[in-house]
Amino acid sequence: MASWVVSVLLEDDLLALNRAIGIIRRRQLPVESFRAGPAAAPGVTSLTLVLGADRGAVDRLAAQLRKMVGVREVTVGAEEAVAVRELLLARVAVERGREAALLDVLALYQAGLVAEAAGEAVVEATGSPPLLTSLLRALEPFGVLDSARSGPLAVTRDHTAPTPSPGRPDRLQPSLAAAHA
Amino acid sequence: MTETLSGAQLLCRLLEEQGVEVLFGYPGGAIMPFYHALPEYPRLRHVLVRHEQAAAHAADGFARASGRPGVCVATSGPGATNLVTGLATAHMDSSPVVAITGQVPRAMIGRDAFQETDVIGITLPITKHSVLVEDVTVLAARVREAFALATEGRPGPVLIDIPKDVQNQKIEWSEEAAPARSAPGGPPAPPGDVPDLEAGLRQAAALIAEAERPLLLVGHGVILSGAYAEVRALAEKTGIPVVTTLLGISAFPDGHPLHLGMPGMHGEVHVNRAIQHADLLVGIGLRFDDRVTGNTAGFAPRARIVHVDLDPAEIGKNVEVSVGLAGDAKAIVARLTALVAPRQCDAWRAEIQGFVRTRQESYRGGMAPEAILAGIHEVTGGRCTIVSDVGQHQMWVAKLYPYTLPNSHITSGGLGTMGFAVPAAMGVHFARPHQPVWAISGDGGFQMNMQEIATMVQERIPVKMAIFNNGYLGMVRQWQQFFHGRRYSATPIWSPDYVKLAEAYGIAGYRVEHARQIEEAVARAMREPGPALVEFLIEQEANVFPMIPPGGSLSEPIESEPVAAAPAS
Repeated sequence: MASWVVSVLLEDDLLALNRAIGIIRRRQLPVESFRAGPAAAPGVTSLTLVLGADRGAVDRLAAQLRKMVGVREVTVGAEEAVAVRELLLARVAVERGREAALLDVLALYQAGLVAEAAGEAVVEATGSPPLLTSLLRALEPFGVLDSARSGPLAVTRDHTAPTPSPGRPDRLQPSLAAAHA
Repeated sequence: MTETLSGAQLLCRLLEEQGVEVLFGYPGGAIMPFYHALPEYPRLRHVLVRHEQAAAHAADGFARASGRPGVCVATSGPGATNLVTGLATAHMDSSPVVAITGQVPRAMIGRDAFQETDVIGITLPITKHSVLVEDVTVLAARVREAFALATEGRPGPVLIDIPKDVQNQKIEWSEEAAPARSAPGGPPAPPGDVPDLEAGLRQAAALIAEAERPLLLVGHGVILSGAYAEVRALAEKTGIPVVTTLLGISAFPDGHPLHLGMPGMHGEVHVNRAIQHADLLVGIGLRFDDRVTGNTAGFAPRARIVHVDLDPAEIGKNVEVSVGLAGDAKAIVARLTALVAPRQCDAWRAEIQGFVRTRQESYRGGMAPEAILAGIHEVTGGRCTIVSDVGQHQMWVAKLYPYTLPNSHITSGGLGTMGFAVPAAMGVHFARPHQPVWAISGDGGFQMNMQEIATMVQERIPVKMAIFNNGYLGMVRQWQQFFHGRRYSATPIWSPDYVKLAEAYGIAGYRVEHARQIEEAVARAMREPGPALVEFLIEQEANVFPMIPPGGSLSEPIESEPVAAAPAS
């Protein structure tokens, strides 16, 4: 079944969030992922849901959300019409002599180091949710002591634009910058 | 000029400002400041119920009969939770109710204080909105917003939870400074989400022009919108027969040559057959509830559907539609009528006439529900409001009483709340003080809220109560008879002596055992200046026919008792 990204902008209070979650819960749709955080406008929360349901069910959910008091905007996008990114933080064990191997993995995923201590490091990475899952797997041989993921953030995009180029599969080469240079 | 008011006094002022005349409520600890202020505002008539559920139903009944918000009041904790069934009833039937609950003082919230309950959390899914008033400075805005939300767009219940210390807070209040109410809710939907109404109307008119077997399906939205004349004009210009759902009954006059009757689980055979043969359904203000459609896979298999509804979320929710027209029924039907060409549907109407069955008698002798309802109609001259409860009698009342006055039939449709009729009828009385109100219940539903007779006596509410007593929870018993091998599990129900019960409350009570006594008993009840009760002893195993089995197709009605019911396994 296709996945759909539902983005909801609603008033920034827990009651509105509670009501929106209630509307989603009641309909028993398979929520693949869920995130809430501040939106660009002040006083507004953005919710991003990825739902593995048929389009009709997702549209009916969106219609119910739209009439909720406190909801500003609801958009539904096919996964390919939405740019989805997530942040991963992972605390990884680093045995003596394995530092270079870890740096190789981080370079491959364009991940960075947030903190280092004796025998461990905190790694950060952004990317598509599958890419971060892949990174976590790549880190497992080192020993993942703890990890946290933000859940997906989404903005709609013009999906007729070029798809990501080889290299890192979820990121474009900076062709725009090059074109203007 | 400013004056110092308490939050409770300000609340009373705001209720007056909103045009509230009657409140149904019950005092308690967390709402005491409000009740302390109330006598200073004699324009606010308070009706002391015997149970908060009745307060919510009465507010709902008032709202349905008047079109204005009904108000109920309760204390925190059990007072608030007792409102829940009434709020859910109002929510399912889009009735504008404003519920005011006391809450424990702000400093106590979240500490499991005495009579503290998270009523906002409890009522989130069964209200249109619910708010906690966090400070007296926002009380006016919250109350105004609540009344606006309850009535604007698709109506529904709104709950305002007011901590006791906020009711006691002082505020400098100036009437002049009262700010205009800000528009509640979010901004209007973005243009991309609103289908082009004009184009939709043209498509609908074209579908009506080319249809050979069209039907109008009329629901509660027509009553809420007051679109009686518009729907009638559309029907008469096109000759399209009209079907009224349970909550659409009395939106179109019974006895009109184009009126077919009620569809669905207990709809008439010819109505359901007409739906199954139709090539176009124009649904106005209904949600295609499962009690109307049966199994949607087999519903109206030949028909395209035009759906008019105020709530865009209803369009395409339960059935697929060809044309969705989101907006107020009155305006949309008027525009649609202007666009359609005059036509007739004589061949189709003749075909439907061929579907009509002689009514299956719902009784084998003794007292027929038909005769009781005819008696009430005869004695009242049809100029009364009928409020029904839930169960077999509800279906008889829906189908057998001739409704000619708009909005003269009030019942709990969506939630199907037993115990609704008696308290809701009290609310109807305050909306229509000069019109008789009959609350018709079964012996099961009546016993759920019969404590409200005391309210009627104390508050001088002249509601007339009819009890269809068959000694069973009849509709459940009927299901047991048809689908559970006649195993009458927990459906025989004992009743008190209702005549003595009436006597105990000091009101007139009559028992009717023979059909010839019906009119006299109804007439005597009507002559009583106050409330009166009439018990009708009806056939014990009378059934409601026809019946579509739950989840079945409208094409396969049960029209008589199963000959040999399978033994229960």
